[in-house]
Formats: sequence, structure tokens, C-alpha cells
Amino acid sequence: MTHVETELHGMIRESVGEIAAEFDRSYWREHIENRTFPESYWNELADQGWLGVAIPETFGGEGLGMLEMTMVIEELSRGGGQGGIVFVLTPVFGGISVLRHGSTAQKEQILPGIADGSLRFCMGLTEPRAGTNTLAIDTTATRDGETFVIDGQKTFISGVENADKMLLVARTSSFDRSNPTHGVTMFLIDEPAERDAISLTELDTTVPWFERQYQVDIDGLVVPEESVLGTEDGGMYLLFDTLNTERIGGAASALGGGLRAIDLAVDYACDREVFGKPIGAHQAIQHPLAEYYAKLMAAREITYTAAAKWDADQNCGMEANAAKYLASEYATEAASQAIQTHGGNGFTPEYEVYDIWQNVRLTQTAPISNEMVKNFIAEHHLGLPRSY
Amino acid sequence: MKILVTVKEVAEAEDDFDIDGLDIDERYLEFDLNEWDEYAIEEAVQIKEDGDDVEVVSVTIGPERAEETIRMGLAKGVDRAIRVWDDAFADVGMLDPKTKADVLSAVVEDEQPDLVLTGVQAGDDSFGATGVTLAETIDFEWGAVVNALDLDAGAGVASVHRELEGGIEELTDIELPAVLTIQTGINEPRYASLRGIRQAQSKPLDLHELDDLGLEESDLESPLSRTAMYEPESEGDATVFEGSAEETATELASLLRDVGVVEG
Ligand SMILES: Cc1cc2nc3c(=O)[nH]c(=O)nc-3n(C[C@H](O)[C@H](O)[C@H](O)COP(=O)(O)OP(=O)(O)OC[C@H]3O[C@@H](n4cnc5c(N)ncnc54)[C@H](O)[C@@H]3O)c2cc1C
Repeated sequence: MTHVETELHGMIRESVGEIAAEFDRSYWREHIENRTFPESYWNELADQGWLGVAIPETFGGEGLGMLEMTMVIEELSRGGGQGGIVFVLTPVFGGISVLRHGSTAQKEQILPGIADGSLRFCMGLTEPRAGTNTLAIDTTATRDGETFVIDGQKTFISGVENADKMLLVARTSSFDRSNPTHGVTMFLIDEPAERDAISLTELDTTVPWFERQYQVDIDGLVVPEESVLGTEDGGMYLLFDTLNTERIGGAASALGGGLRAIDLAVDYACDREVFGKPIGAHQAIQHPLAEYYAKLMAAREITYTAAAKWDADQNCGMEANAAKYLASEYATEAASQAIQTHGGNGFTPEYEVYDIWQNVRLTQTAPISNEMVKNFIAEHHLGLPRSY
Repeated sequence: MKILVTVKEVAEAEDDFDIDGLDIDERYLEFDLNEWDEYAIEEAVQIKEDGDDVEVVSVTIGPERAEETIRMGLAKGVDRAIRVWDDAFADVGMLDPKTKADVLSAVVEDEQPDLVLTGVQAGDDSFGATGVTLAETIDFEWGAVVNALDLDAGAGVASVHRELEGGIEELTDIELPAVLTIQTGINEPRYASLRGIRQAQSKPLDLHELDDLGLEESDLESPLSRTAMYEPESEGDATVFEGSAEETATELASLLRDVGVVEG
């Protein structure tokens, strides 16, 4: 499945790039320093139809696919700021999960709100003890007639303060070795920051984000059974299914960040003169930039292949995992080289490259670590024995 | 009512470039819609949105490469686009305003617009004359360098503000049909929305060759030709300081000291 860039794609890139360029470094720094949600940026993305890119027209979206969503995320990231990262939380996690697994009522209630920018999501998966091993989660949801009572603790949950909905993963039946993926359920929790049964403790993370991360303690939260997304006990299947889009979205976000680092490094290298000529005239500066650009271009191809396969209803597990792995690694290398190119300025807040490095470095670990990505390729694609 | 907007894809050169014959080497060029035309398109689309039964048609003289730029206009609300091209244009090289006006007047004859909007000038050739020359050729009223426009379609009158030298503005009523050359800043051009971009994929973008317009190759003969292209010697260097007032003031102070303007 070779990617062919169409005129539509070119126009998508150009328009998204223009919006991203309108919100400059000072806009993002202000939001990061004050930890405030970038409302005007988000509204612009909603008004111009970008948040609804992959939501069907019947639900207020534009009815395009994962491939176009990938380009939107990539261009937002490449344009600077955190657009690419936030896009993954709401239109990808929220949008794709509800679109693929929601009931008709849930789709009607939620999808138009994602498209018009009025609904924001956060994702409640990670737990202190279970970590990467989702099957070991301790959060439980116990059925009580037509409701569930939820108890447990989540950690590192981003953006709860801005979220209208939380996708929460909880155990509804105990672990059964003979059927290990059974017993986990996904819930859609309304207004998570405003629930009496949910308390938030802010965590200190060093990423330059406008969003905060929280430890989320849930104590006797009662939710109606209508808040189950997909089927009771069948949440793992749902997670596995939408996981690939999260990999692709994460890859696109890293890709855009890496390309931006190179764009900035090239500008700087053409401009900065020491020893009587631009530093970019030295091969020691040129070659690494050329190398990481080439690598990012290759990662981009497999990212698009993954997205196109998803859109064609084909299995894209290998490509999606490879894309996330390669894009996150190459983007980190690229950002590191961009810092090196900037000399001492690489470490000052005026220049963006150190922030980019932190953001793309995170994509090696979250939302899923590269070790797990490689575990997937080794086990499911190469047929090696399961290692854990 | 029908509005015809003339648009052009122009090249912008990078800071450092090489000259190749009579032009800047294409490797250093980036093509985009002429800035003034962005405003002309926006003005036409706003008139369409405020009125009923207004059709906006764009016309460009340009090679196939220009189509993506033209389609962006369709994405921003233009209903239909015409691209005039013929191998003969590639051979001519440079078109002077009169020749362009002759070609465009053939389109005006086909389309019979009530209003023609052009940019004040194109960022590459900077003739600033095509719009007015077109008006003279097709015998329309005209207003140049328009920075505010209030259209009374029923009465067939455009009330315009024209920007004159020295900050003076002229207020004029112009009877339709008319050509107005649009100044930047008259409005705030929109971004293309995703819906607009999708709709643009199926809007008509028609190619007209010389034959279709009843023109011949000899109509493209231009009294103007480019004879040389060179980069003028720079007579001084400009230093641009970036950063906060404090940082730039410090840099300026040390520069003034270095060049001996102040001592210490
Ligand atoms: C800034 C930030 C924002 C976040 N936002 C969210 C959020 O919004 N929602 C949410 O749910 N989570 C969020 N997270 C959590 C993130 O997804 C997890 O930190 C990540 O998935 C890793 O889990 P862990 O920290 O428990 O690491 P662990 O599971 O403890 O893993 C530690 C290391 O061991 C490796 N490892 C573990 N098991 C294996 C194995 N079988 N084979 C090989 N290597 C292994 C891992 O790959 C990793 O390198 C966020 C994290 C950060 C830092």
C-alpha cells in the first residue's frame, strides 16, 4: 500500500500549517506557564472542521479517515506547540473509541461534541501497581442493579481538569488465567473533575505541557450502566482494537515534532555564523540533520501505510507499532541534534528545541513504551515466543 | 450578480538564491497565491455571503502548477475557476499588463461579470497596472487601491474608499459594471476549512486555451521583454536584533560602541 499524496492532502497540510503558524511560541509559552487550556487554538481547529476530520458527516464531522487525521496531527506538531499531542487525546482516543464501539446513543451524544470542540477527553488507564500490564489493574467496577460502583486509583492521568469525559478502564470480573483478556470494561465518565467520588492530586512531571498530570483516586463512584463503552467485560478487545490508532496518532505527533526540530535547526544553521561562515556549511552540522530527516521520512511512509491500512479495514498492527517506534526514536534523535546545532541557545527558553526534545522523548514511553511495541512486533509479527 | 476575481500564483524567493538566465533559479522559489488576491477573493466571497444569488468566478493565467493554489480559492468560497493557458504562453515569457488585459478581456466577454476584482498588484512583477488596464480595455468604470467597499447591488453602485498617498482617503461611488483593484487589509482573509477543501475537489476548474477565447498566438506579442536579471550590490548591512527590549537595547549599545558611534 504505497502512499500517494493527493491535491486534497496538500491543501490539508497547507491550511493546518497556516493555523498552527498563527499560534506562535509566545502563545504556547503563556499557556504552558499558566497551565491553561489553549481555547482559541482549539476553537479555531473546531471551527475549521479539523477536530472532526475522521468523524462521519452524520455525526457532524468531515468523514475522512485516519490517513487525513495523521496528516493533521503531523502538521499541527510541525507547526509548533502542543496541538499534535492534545489531538491524540480527544479525536483519537475519544473519537475513535466511541465511533468504533459506542452505542448509537453514545455516538449521537458524543461525536458531534468532539467535532465542534465542545467535548474534551482524558484517558484513565495507567495505575501505580499495574503499570504497563493493563491486565493487572486494581480499579474495580462492581455491578449494582443498573449501576456500577467504581473504586481504585489511576496515575499520570493528563488533562483531567479540562476534560468533559474520562475514558476509564476498570475490572468488572476477576482475572481468569484461562481467559486472560476477559473481565475488563471501559467506562465513559462525565465531568471527572467535578465528581465528589473522584479526588485529584496533581503530580509533578517535567514535560512542558499546558496540561497537568494527576493521581486520580476513585472512591465509590456510581455510574449508570449506559456509561459502559462496548461490552461489559469486553474492554480489552476494545482497547486492542483502538490501540493501533493511538500508535498512529502518537507516531504522527512525534514525526511532526522531529520535523519541526529539523526545520528550526536548518534555519539556525543557515543564520548563525562563527569562523566566518554559517555553521550549516560544516558537514558535521549538515550530515546528522540530513540523516535524521531521511529517517523521519522513512518513518512517515510506514505511518501513512498504517493509517491507510486502518482506513481500508486491514490489519495494521505491524505498521502501526513500527511507525510509533521509529517515529519516536528518530524524532528524539532529530531533536537532540537540533539542540546540538543551537549551541548554548539550545538550552534557553527562547529557542524551542529543548521543549521539542522533551515532548518527543516522552513518545518513547507514553502512551505506550517502545519495549511493549517491540514485544508486539516480536510476538505477533515475527512469531517469537511471548516474553512476559 | 456575478463577480470575476483575477488571481495569480506568484513566486517568492528564499533569502539566498541563484539567478539562472533571466530568472531566479526555480529551486529557490516557492509558489503561492499573490497576497493582494487573497483579499480580493475574500471580498468577493463576503459579498456572496451577504447577498443572494451571487456567483464568484476566479480567473488566472497560469500553468498547471497553479491549480492547487487556484483550488484553495475554491475552498475559500469561490464557486468556479477558470485557468487560461496554452503552450504559447510558455514561449512568450513575460506578459505586459496590456497583453494580460487583452487575454482577461476575452474572459470578461464570455462571463459578463457585473464586478471584476483584482489585486492592486502582483508581488512578483509589481506592475500594479493590470486591473486598470483591463477596465480600460473592456470599458468598465474602475477604482484603484480600494481599501473599503460597500456594494449596493440593487442600485448598481459600489461605494469605495481609495487609499491615496500621505494617508489621504478618497470616497467615491462607482457605477457597475466596474473593476476594483483591492488593497491588502480591506478584510481579514479566512483560512480554508476542511469542508471547504472537500467541496473544492468537485467544483469546476476549467482550462481555456487561446482558441477557446477566440485569441491567437499573435495576441500574446508583448512590447516588453526582460533583458537582464541581477542582484543589486548592497550598499550597507542591516542588522536586525531580536528579543526583548532589554536584550535588543544591550545589543544595540554594544554595536554602537563597536562601530565607534559612542565611546566607552
Ligand atoms: C507526561 C505523562 C502523561 C501521561 N498521561 C497519561 C494519561 O493521560 N493516561 C494514562 O492512562 N496514562 C498516562 N501516562 C502514563 C504512561 O502511559 C505510562 O507511564 C507508560 O505507559 C508506562 O507505564 P509505567 O510508567 O507504569 O511504566 P512500567 O510499566 O513500570 O514500565 C517501566 C519500564 O519497564 C518496561 N517494561 C515493563 N514491562 C516490560 C516487558 N514485559 N518487557 C519489556 N519491558 C518492559 C517498560 O517498557 C518501561 O520502560 C502519562 C505519563 C506521562 C509521563
